[in-house]
Amino acid sequence: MVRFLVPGHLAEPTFAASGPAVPQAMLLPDGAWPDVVQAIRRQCPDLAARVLTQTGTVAAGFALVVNDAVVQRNCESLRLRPGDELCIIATVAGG
Amino acid sequence: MPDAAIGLPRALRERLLATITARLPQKSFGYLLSAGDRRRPIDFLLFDANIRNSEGWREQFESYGRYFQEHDDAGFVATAEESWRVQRDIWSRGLVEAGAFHSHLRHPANFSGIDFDLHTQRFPRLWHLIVSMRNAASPQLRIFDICGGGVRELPIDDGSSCSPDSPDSPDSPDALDMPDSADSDSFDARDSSSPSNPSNPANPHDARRRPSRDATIARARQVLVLDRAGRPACRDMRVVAAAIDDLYACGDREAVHDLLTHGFLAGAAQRYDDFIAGDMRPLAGGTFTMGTPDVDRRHFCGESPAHAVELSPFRMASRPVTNVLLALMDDRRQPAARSAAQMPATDVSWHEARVFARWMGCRLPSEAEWEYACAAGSAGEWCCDERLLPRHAWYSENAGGTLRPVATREPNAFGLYDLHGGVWEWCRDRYDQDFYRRSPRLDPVAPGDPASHRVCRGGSLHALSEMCRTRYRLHEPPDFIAPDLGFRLARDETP
Repeated sequence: MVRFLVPGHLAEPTFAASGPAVPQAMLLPDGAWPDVVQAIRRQCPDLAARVLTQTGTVAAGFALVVNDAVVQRNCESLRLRPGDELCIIATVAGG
Repeated sequence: MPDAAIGLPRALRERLLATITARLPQKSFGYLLSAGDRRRPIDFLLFDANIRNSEGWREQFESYGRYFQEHDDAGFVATAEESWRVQRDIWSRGLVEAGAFHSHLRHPANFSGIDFDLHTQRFPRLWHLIVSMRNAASPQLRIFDICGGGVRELPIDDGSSCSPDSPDSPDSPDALDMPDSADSDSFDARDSSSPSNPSNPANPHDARRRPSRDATIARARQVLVLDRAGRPACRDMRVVAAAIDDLYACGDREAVHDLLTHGFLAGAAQRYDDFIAGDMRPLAGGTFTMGTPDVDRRHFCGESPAHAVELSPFRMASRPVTNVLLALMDDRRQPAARSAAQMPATDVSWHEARVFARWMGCRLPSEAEWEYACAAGSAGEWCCDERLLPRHAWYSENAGGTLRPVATREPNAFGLYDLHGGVWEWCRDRYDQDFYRRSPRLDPVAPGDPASHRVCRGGSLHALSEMCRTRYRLHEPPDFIAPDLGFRLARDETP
């Protein structure tokens, strides 16, 4: 399994006061990137619709981080091993 | 339902502004962070690197128009690496992103189309704070939330009893209900919107207690004095405006007659005839559709719903007030260079604008009058097709960042110049983003105490075409000034 961290800016709103802010995390099956994409789509369809393209790449405006390193190359060939930690974050932008 | 305010403690606000100011002219952007409740940020985190001009991004920004081609400091994009470092930092501190923020160097604190596009793509659940540094001595903060397919401005609660940045300041009660005569009018003719009403308990902007009638008259006698040239001796127009408001509010018609009609405002009729009358255009008024239909509201705040408004006939100046005209009241405004004489007067507060208007026998236009005059019968977004806008307006597509003399573009169908672009123009109304939902049909003016934010319209030399739209609404505090903020005169139609 791999651990998928969801940053606060992509998580569900917590407008009501809650406890200490901690990153939301979920477990996904390890394996080839398309399998991970499928799992993300299944477990959090709203998030997937925003951060992933239809072909399964990371959408413009977002970055993929695996094991504390930003993935610069094409992610389609990525293979995630058990214990890997994965995160997708937005890159702040505006006018 | 009232909007939930975002709590921005004074200390956090000051620290954020100090940081943004220290980085000028560089743009600042980042996150505001909370411990869990996203309405209560407790800290902020800034990004250092901006790859807006990198290959891939530059082209995308420049596709938004000439402003983004001429200003490579307009727009921002964080790097993926820094975004990740920031994210880890946020987690390590046990905080969460409450909102995103960025600063504007030249523009007001408005939420433009590019902000909407890039924010909603990334952060549909975060609010967005924009800090305008167009007057660095008076930064303006506005917070926007994307909800229900539209954008709403959220009030800011800085922990004091009132928020200076609230878009929805409370109404003050109606002003005097007095016969319509020169002596008994309120500050702005046909206006019941702006008595200072200092004793109004619902008015947290003004903690003063209502002074006695005698004290009010004594104060007016002291402040409403003319110098030898017949100009106001007191140069602080907020003080002058307050003295006039209070004098009307105290209801002593004899004092109004003596101190205003035959005192401070003596000669107004002559000044109007000599300097203003020839430039005024009679407008028939009647019924028109004000605002933007819900279906078209996109990212524009406060423009909906579209609603029918009926206006009485009035007169509107064909051009904004110029330096040479404003110098009639304040000789410090005398332009040093001849070329500046016909430039629109700028760095004018709402208080100064309304005092000048009254001193010239006029008033500021209401927001409804302004919109009616700007549209000139067009139901479109501008008085003309957007492709023709450069013929009518000096704005970001053709002004080159330079203020231009008034009336050097084509007028609209009503013979009025520069309503699009040039300088933002003060209107009489208090800004209320929900006013259109409850405004009266006939001659609407949003009432408010003099500390309330006031409406500005029309865009400026820096404005993108969307900000120059006929129905675009902006607001600033009444003592705010900016190098692209001016005004024009209006007047009731004489029967």
